[in-house]
Amino acid sequence: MRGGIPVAPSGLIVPPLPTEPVYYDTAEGQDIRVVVVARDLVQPWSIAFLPGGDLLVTERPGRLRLIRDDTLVAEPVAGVPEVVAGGLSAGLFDVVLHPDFASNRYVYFAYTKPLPDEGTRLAIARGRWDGSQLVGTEDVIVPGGGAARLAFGPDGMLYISAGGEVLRVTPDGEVPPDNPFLGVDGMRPEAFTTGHRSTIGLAVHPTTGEIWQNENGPNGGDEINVLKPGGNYGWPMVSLGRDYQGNWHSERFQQAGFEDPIVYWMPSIAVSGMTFYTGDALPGWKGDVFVGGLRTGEIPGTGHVERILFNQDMQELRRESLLVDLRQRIRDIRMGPDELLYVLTGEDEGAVLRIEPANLP
Amino acid sequence: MSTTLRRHIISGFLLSTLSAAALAQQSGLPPLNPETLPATTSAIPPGIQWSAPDLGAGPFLIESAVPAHRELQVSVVASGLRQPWSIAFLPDGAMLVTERGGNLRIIRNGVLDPEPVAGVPAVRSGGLQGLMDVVLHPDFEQNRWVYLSYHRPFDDNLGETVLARGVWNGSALEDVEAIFESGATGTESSRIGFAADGMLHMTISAGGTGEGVIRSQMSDDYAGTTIRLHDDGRVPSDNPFVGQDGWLPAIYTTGHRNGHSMTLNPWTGELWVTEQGPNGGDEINVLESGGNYGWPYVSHGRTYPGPVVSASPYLEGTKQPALFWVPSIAVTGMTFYSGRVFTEWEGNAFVGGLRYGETPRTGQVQRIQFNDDWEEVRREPLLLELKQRVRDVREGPDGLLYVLTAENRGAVLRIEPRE
Repeated sequence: MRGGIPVAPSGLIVPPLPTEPVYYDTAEGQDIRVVVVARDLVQPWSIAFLPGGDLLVTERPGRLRLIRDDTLVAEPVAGVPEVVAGGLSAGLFDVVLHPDFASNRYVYFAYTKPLPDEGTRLAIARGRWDGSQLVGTEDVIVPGGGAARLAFGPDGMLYISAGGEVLRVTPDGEVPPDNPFLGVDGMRPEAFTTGHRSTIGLAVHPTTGEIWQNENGPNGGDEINVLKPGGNYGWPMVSLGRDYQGNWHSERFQQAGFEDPIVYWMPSIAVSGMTFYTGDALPGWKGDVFVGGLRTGEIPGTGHVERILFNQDMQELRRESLLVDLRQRIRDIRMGPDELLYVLTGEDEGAVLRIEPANLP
Repeated sequence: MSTTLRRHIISGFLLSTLSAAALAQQSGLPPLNPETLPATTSAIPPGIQWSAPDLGAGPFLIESAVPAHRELQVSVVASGLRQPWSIAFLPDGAMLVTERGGNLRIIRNGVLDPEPVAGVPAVRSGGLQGLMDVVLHPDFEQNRWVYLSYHRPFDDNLGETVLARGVWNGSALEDVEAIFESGATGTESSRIGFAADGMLHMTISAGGTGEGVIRSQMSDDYAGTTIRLHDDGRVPSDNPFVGQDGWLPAIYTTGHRNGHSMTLNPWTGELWVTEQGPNGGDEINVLESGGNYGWPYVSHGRTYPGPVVSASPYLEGTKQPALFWVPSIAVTGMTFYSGRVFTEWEGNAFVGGLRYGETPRTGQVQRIQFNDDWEEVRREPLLLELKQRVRDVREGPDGLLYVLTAENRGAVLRIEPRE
């Protein structure tokens, strides 16, 4: 029956993750296998790779977890402050290492901070990794916002998605003197770009150094944007998507003064984390962009990884859906120092998966 | 059609972009900038050659997202069809299936007759050309008329889009005659459909890339249009461009890249036409008499080498699609589902797709759910696990969904409740 569209759509039933490696042929001749590195993670949100092979994984309810030798350490990592968790937009989110981690041991993370007046606010904090926990944890900036991604640019600055904007601050949380909105009325000086809906991916292009950002449209209109200082990316004035009840969100998809995305999805895949694959371990995929997807076309159980091939002008040529049959919501995908791809499933019984060449010994 | 007119149209195919600009001005649109035309000769990275795996015997167990129809199976009704293109259901339960290579096949009691149906005219097949749609007249029970769209051999082996009609005698077509000769050659897909008022509509597709794309905006070329006819091929006097200088009279809508469905929405009485963009920009258009749907001026798609077709998808005087896909699924045939067997799918549209995002082995069926205003609220991919290109999806008289795979070892599949 048409009409009476349920608010919470029904979906495919998500099977348990397999216990054995899953093998796939893929379109570029890149044969892969997918292994479960760790399971029993609750809504894992982001992953950071420590020198020596350890992995740090955030769980949205507020725990930082350590995976050592492919084994999840039972106790959460100490040194994370109190986190307010709730829904999609309150909790512990991204975790990244400072570019000079080898010398300063700084781990940065984004979390929802309880305020004395019982309110909450998005905060970015850092602590020093002592080999098993964070010490000296301190807030760097408390900008407010929902879920947040972090990325260090080639300029050494920290980029933060926060409340419809992407911010640019020094690693100490200070405003750099060349920020685009400095002195602009009504704009906060930390702002780098505006007009974003909900950023779930931030990644630095490996050769141009540009900051690539992705965001979820509503029902259609997911985007990848290349961030330009001072750029306005249009939400909520213009969108390529529909509102959930079916009407187009905006009369037009474009308007003068707003930046266009370089990649978009119709229907949405609920695009999430993003990474540039620059390794040699999966040679068929070198140079490609990988994103996660939580669900396709508003149908639960259709999360997957998507690979995007670009030409030399960074115009897309093709997209390939991967891991579709696992039916997992994919929250993040990153390339590890071993040049393999690590995938986080955005589930209450979440996991870290690793995509390896099929013939890896 | 006179030889003179046909020659004129053939030369239109080779028109310089200069005269294309002149024609565009005549139609009230801005001149076409040749540099924005989809390129043909740019260095396109090699596409992926990766053919579909063998289908297997089935049945295949699949699931859908709607709980009432969670457990489904896909049965192989017939295999060993070469590029099946369309299917029509005869009142006695038999099915007629076109093969693009030029044969019309019949399936009786679930068995594919090894002999093709006799009476089909000579077809030029090759590339995307060949025998296309097969449709029964709405009053078939009385008049036994069967309609075929196909490419008729023409000079230089280009193939001209023609609509023919014949009488079904129970085992073969008789008295087959061409009732509409488009004069348009080098064309691609053609679908046929009857509108709520009994008029016959057909898509005539232009070539998808290269200089020929301008044909979709030319008033004296049927390529890149939909047409509207009486059921005997005569042009209705109330067609939108009848009597207008420089316009071919059967044109109903223009500015299409191609048309892969001509589907009556039984709830609204509208004709819904699927259209493949290049790399991105597949569309569903709802036909309005005289409408210009914008190709190749505007599209949500990219050309195959990567650049966008148009900086903006908007152009004054052209119509926006009701739905679009980015990336493309290479959308094909479409049906609106009655809800007879799968009750919770009533009013959903089902479309076929050849491949997603220019990647092989990603053919599928998509279920599209709408709100009361026919605005989409969800799209569900189905049959992805079969890794077959899908050419068409239709509802049979039994209320089940029939799917044609666009493969050299093609098949007719049926989506059923699981036993």
